[in-house]
Amino acid sequence: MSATPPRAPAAAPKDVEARQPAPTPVAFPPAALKDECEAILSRYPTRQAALIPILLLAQGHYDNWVSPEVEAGVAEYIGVSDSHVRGVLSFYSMFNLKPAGKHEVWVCRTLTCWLRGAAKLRDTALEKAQAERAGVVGEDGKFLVKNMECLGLCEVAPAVFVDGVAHTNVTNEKLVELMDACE
Amino acid sequence: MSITLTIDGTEITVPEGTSVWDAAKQMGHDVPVLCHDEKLEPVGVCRMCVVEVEGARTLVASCVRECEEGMVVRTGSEVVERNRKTLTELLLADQPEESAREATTGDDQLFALARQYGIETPRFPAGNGRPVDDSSPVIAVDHQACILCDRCVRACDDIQSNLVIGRTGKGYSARIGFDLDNPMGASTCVECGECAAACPTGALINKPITVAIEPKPLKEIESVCPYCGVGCALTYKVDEEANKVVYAEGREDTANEARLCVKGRYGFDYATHKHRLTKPLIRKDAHYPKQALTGAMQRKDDGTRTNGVYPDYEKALGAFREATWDEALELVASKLSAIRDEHGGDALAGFGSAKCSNEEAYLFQKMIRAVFKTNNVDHCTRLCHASSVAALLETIGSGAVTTVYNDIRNADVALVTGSNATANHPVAATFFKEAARNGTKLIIVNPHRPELADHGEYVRLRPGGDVAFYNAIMNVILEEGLEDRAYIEQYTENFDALKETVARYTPEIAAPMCGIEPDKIREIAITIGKANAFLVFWGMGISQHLHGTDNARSLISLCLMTGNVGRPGTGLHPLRGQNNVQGASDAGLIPMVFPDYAPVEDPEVRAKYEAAWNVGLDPNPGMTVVEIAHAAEEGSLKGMYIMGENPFLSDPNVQRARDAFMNLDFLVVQDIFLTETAEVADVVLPATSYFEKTGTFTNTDRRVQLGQTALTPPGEARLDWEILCDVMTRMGYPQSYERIEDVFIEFSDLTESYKGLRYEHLLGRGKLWPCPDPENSEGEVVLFGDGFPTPTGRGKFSPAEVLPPEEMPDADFPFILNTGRTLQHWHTGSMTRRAKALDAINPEAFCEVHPEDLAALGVEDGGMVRLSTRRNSIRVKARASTKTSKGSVFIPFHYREASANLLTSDALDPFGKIPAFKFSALKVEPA
Ligand code: SF4
Ligand code: SF4
Ligand code: FES
Ligand code: FES
Repeated sequence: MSATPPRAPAAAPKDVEARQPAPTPVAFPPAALKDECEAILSRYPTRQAALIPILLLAQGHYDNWVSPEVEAGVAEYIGVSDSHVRGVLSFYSMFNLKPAGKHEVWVCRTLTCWLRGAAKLRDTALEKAQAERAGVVGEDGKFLVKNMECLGLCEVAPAVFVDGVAHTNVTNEKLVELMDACE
Repeated sequence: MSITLTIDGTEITVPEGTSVWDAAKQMGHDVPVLCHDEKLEPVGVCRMCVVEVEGARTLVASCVRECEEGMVVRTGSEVVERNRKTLTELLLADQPEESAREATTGDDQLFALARQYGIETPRFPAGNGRPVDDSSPVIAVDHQACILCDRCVRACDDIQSNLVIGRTGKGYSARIGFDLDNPMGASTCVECGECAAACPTGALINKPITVAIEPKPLKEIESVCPYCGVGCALTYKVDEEANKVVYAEGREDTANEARLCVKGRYGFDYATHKHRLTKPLIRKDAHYPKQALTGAMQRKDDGTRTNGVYPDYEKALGAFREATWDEALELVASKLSAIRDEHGGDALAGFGSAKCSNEEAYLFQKMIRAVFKTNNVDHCTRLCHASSVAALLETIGSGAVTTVYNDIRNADVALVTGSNATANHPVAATFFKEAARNGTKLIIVNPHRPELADHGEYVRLRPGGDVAFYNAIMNVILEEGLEDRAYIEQYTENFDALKETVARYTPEIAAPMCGIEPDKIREIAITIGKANAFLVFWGMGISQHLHGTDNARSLISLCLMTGNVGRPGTGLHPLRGQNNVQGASDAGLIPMVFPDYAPVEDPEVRAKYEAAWNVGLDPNPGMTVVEIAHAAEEGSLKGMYIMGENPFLSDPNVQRARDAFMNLDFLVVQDIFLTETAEVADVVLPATSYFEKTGTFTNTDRRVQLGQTALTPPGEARLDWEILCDVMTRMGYPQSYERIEDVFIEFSDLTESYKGLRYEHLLGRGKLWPCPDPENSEGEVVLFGDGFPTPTGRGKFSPAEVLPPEEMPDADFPFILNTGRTLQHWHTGSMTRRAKALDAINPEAFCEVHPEDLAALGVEDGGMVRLSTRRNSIRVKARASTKTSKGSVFIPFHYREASANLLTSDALDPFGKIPAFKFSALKVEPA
C-alpha cells in the first residue's frame, strides 16, 4: 500500500537454510544417565523445571553438544515441545547446538573485561584454536572459543573460563599457557 | 471484590483482577497494543500499551498491570505518547520496506501506528538481516517483519495446542522458530493458520489460494465451513468481480471461537476448480455398455503417478454429450417414471448426502418417498454412525449427542475412543487439548495411536477389543462399588441383565481379548468410576465394525451406570463426521424413518406425512446403502438417483458395488464434479457447490447454522433444490417454492426438534435443537437431565457380548487392515484433491505400516507394497509409523489411485447395517 513509509532499504533477507525435518529422537535417557536423570527430576516440582540440568547432563554425555536428535529425545522425555527445548538451548550460551571442540574457552566480552583488553584475549584464543571466529570450532577440532557476556568476575577482569574453570586477571601469556596445558 | 481507580480524570469501579487496559477499554479509551490480543493471555512484552500511573517509577504496561485501589492513570499524556512514538519508530526501523500484511489484508498494526504517529523514515539503523521462509504451502514467513510479540506462539500453544512455535536465539538475533528451528513447511505445523490470524505485522501472512489477496473492499459472507461435523462458523471474504473466495476467517462469538483448521481456512477453492460441471450431460449411445472407470486406478508400475487422482476428464467427458436442462430433466423424469410404473417404486432408490443442507435432504427424501413411491433412500451416515444411532435409539431413545463438544471444559475425565479427532474434528480437538491442559484427564483408547494421545493417557486397544474392554471396565466399577446407585434406580432399567453380562468379564478374562493388562483396566475403571463428570466422545473406530452397535451400547451402559448423562461435563457424544450428518438424518434421509426419526411403519406417522404431502406413502422400510448395492447387483433395483455421494470410492468392497451400480438400467448423478460415480451415469446434472447456495446445516452438537451464498454458480449449474423440484414436477408431482427458506419452514414445522426455527435465528452462533424459544435462548446444551424420551422414560441398559469379527487374520491374510482419514482430505477427495493447498500438503496415497513389519518385508520407508484382502488388491506407498501397532496396517480411503475400499468388506452390522471398515484380514507384500 502506498501508505508504507519510505525509508532506507533493509538488509536483504536470506533464505532459511533447508534443514532435514523431524529428526528421529534418540531414546533418552540412555542407560548410563538413567539414575542421574531420575535423581534430578526428583529435586524439582515439575518435569519442565528440570529441563536445564537434564540438558547439561545430556550435553556432557553426547560429546559436548546437543544434536537435534538429542533435543527431540529430551523433549519427549521431559514432555515439552521441541520448540520449547530449542528456545532454552539457544538462549543459554553454555549449550552447544553444533559439534563442539574437545576444550572450551570462554572469553568475557562485556564492558569491564573489554576495557581491560578482553578483545585481544579473544583474538589470541582464536589464533591458537585456528578458528575463524568465536562459536566455530578450530580446524583440528581441539578448541571451541566462545564470546560470553559478563561472567560475574568484573573486579578481577579480564576473565576467562577454560573447560568450566574460572581464570582471572588473564594476560595473553597466561591464556596461551592455559591453552597449551590442554591435552 | 471491586476496585475503584481514576483513569484520565474519571473514576471507574472494576472487579479485582481487571487489567488497566481492560478498564480503560470499558471507558472507551483505545490504548494501542501490539503484543496484546484479548483472546490470549497477556504477556506484556512490547510496551506499546504503556500508561502513566501516578507515583510509579516508570511507565507501566497496561495490558498486564492489574488495577489497584486509588490508582490514578493517564492513558494519553505527552510522555506516554512520546514513548509510544519512539517505540514505533524503533520497531519500524527493522521492518522490511513494504509490509506484506499491508499489501494483502491491509491491517498491519505496526504500520497503522506509524501512520498515526506520522513516522516516515525512522532515525535508527535499519535491518536485522533475518531470513524469510517460504516453505509452508499456506503461510509466508518473513522473520524480518517479526516484532517478537509472542502472539503466534500463544495462538499455536494456547488456542490450537499445537506447540509448534517457540523463540530461538537471544538479543538481536532472537526470532520465532518452528520445532527445532525448522523451515515452517518441514515442521510439525498442521497449517491451521491461527498464527497468521494472530500476527499483527507482515511476519506471518496467508498466501493466496485463489486470486491475490489485496487491500481492497471484499464482500463478507457469514457462513459455516463445508467440511466436518464440527461446523465451524466463519466469514468468507469474496471478490465479487472474480467470483472467488479470497480468504476465510473464523467468526468470534461462536462455538468454535474463531478457530479453524486447514480445511476450513484454506480448502475453499475447489468450488472454482476448472473441473466444475457447467452443463447437463447425457451419455452417448456409442458409450453403452458402460466401461470401467477412466484413468489408471493405481500408480503405474514404475511408480509414476498417472491421472489417477481424478477421473480422466477428457476421456470421461468424451462418453457424454452436452444437453439442455430441458432435455436432461425430461430424460430423467421419463426414465425414472417408466421404471416406477413398470416395476414399482421399490425398483428405484436414491442416495442423498450428508453434505447436503437440511433443505436439500428433506426435499430429496420427499422426492423418493412421495414421487418415486419407495423408502429406498439412504446416505453416507449409514457408513459412519448408523450403528451409534441404532444403539442410542434403542437405549436412550434419541440418536443425537447429549451435550456439546465444548462441554469437555466441565468434565474431569473424558474418554475419546475410536476417534482421530485432531485429523477428523480438528477444531473440537483443540478444545479437548485445551481441557487436558486445564486439568481434564483425557483417556484415549484406540488401536491406531492418534495425535491426541500426546495430551492424555493412551491405551492401545487390540483391534476389535472394544466390547471386552468396556465390559471389563464396568466389571471393575461394579466390583469397586463405584456405580451410581441412585441414578440407576431413578433413570434406568434392565440393570440386572447388564450386571450379569459384565460379571463374566473380569479384567483377567478381558485382557487377552482387548490386549490391555488387567491392572491398567482396573486403573482406568477406577478413574472413570470416581469422576464427578465423565464425558465420552467416539468416532468411526467404535461404529464401523461388524459389532459397531455393541461397541456403542457398551459406552452408553458405561455412562448410564456411572450416572454420567444429563449434567454439564457428562454425556455421550458420537462425533459426527460430515458437516450435516446430524441434519441429513434429522431430515429423514434414512430408509426406515421420516424426518425426526418417525418410523415409516407407524400408521399415525404415515398419515401425518400423507396429509402434509398429499400423497399415499409406502409403509415398508426401505433398503440401506449396502443393501441397495446388492439389490442393484441382483437386478431387482433398476434405477437410481444419486445426489452428492460418491459410492464408487466410499462403499465397502467397492469393486462389487461398482459392478452393481453399472448394472442399473438408469443412473442419474447430481454433483458438482464428474466423480467416479458420475463417470458411469446415464445423465449427469450439474449442481451448485456449497458456496453457491443458502441452507441450514446441523453440526455434531445439534447446532443448526445458516450457510449463505458467497459465489454465483458457473455456467448452467443450478441450485440443487430447484433441480429436485423440477424432477418432481416432471414426474407428475408439482413442486415449487418461492425461496429456499420455505423448504426449511415446511420441514421444521413437521418436526419437534426444529419447530419454530427460522433463518433469522440461525445466524451468529446458530441454535441447538431442541430450541422451543429461539428468540431468547440458544437451545438445549445438555439433554436428558431428567429422564429419556423412551416409552418408560428410562434409559435401558443393553448388554453386549464379545463376538468374533467376521474375518479373522489367518496364515494367508495375517495382518489387520484399518481404514480412516487424514487431516487434509475429505472422504473421496472430490473436493479436497481439487483444493490447491490441501493437495499440496497431502498429494499422494499412502498406508502406514509398523517399522518392524516393514523391515521384515524388506521394504524401505516410502517403498511400495501390495495390500490384498480376500476381495481385491492395491499397490500403495508404505510409510513406516509406530502409530500403528505391529500386525496392523492403516490406510486412508481418500485416494482413487489406491482405493482402500477395494479391500474392505461389505459384511454388515446386523443392527446399524454399517460395514466393518475398520477390520479386514490383510496380506502385505513388497511391490
Ligand atoms: S499454522 Fe497452526 S500449527 Fe502451524 S505454526 Fe501456525 S498456529 Fe501452529
Ligand atoms: S474443524 Fe471441521 S468444520 Fe472446523 S474448519 Fe476444520 S473441517 Fe471445517
Ligand atoms: S564484564 Fe567480564 S566478568 Fe563482568
Ligand atoms: S500490548 Fe501491552 S506490552 Fe504489548
